[in-house]
Amino acid sequence: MNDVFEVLSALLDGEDVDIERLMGVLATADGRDALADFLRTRQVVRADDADPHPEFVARLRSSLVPRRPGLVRPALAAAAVLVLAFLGGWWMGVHRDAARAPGAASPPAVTRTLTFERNVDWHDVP
Amino acid sequence: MGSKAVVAGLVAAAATGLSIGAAQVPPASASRTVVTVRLRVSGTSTVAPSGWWAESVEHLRAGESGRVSVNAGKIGAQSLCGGIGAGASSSDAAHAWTADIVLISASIDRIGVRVSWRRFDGGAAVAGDTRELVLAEQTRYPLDFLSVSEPDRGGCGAASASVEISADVAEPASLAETILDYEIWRVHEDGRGGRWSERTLASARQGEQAEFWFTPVTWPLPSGCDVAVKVSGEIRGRLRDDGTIEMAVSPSRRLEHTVPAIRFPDRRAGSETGKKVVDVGPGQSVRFVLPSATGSSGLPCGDPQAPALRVDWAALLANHQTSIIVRPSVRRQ
Repeated sequence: MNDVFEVLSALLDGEDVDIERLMGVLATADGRDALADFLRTRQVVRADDADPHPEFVARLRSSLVPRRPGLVRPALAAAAVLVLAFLGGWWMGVHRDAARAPGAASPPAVTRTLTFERNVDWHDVP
Repeated sequence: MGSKAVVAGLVAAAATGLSIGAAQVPPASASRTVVTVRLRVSGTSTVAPSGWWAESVEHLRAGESGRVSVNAGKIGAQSLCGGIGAGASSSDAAHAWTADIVLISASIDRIGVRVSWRRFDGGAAVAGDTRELVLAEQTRYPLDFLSVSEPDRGGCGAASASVEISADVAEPASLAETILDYEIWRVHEDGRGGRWSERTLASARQGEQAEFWFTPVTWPLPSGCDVAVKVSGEIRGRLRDDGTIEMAVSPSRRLEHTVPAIRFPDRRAGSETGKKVVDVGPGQSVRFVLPSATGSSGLPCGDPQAPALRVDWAALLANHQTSIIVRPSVRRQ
């Protein structure tokens, strides 16, 4: 089948082809069907307008924020670095802490510490 | 609301040297607290569902006194059938209980009362005493128990009656529907850099008790036994008008010595508990440090015929420290 496609593709691209091979391909039903498919695809592509519709272009332009030329790419690159750094730190933090305590990294900072005293406010249960 | 001033009662308590922990003098902040005191008679029956029969209620502030009464059985009858109620005169009932209550102090989960109770059978006082108690909220304290022999149980089959007293802080309507959430941590440190932290969440309505549990911190011993520190507990919290939260925190610790290799392991354990009351501001966290372990337990490890291996908890867990950290918050919609 690859041989069929090669011959037909070369033919449609205007290249020289081996006439005997082409005759052999066109002698088969698969070869003729393949040629028909190639021609149908090419016609569809030619009929399609390559330019975006003017209304789409207008909507896209209205949604864009004006920015100074020359700063767009560096700003995007810097933002990407920051996002990656944040996500990386978050990812590492989540996976490090998950082994210790699911749902939170570490105990909250305490504002008071109270100590139980045995036989005062700490007792054996009978 | 009990209206009698009980200065005399407080003076008498001081004069007799009776004390109720550190709560003998009502704190100023507690003077507005209203406590609901209940005297309840419950019974068992051979022919009817068991449960509580009658309840008498009094609302008191610290320093006030009141009387609660319940009764069971008709006068002249041996059984407890009929005549069950609250507040009736003792001479109208076969058995009647009356308790004169003085509310000495009122803080969360620690309500100090002096109870003078009497039981009247056919109008005659037959039992009773005066005692001072510190009552935990939502806990009933037994005062008296009455058993009825089989021939005297009557048509209702009442076999016994018990009389209990309880005291709970009455919640103001504006705060009664408050939901309190608790973020709770158990942190166990071995003193050599080892640290086992675990977080859990609990919640409860205003003034009600929330329970929490943590997974055991376990160490295998070369003998084949395991030892484990298990921590659980209870928290009762109450939002105040000023936005602070009053908490009674009661952690419990169980030091357990087990043989894990057998299906239903024998175990030796000692349980300890304590309670602390603390006021917490919004967003604040409090650490509660548990005392060092003490005591020992013995268990044959692996071979039931072998002599028991005795674990000295103080030596085994020397330098270890277990803490509970609690951060309460008020749930908002």
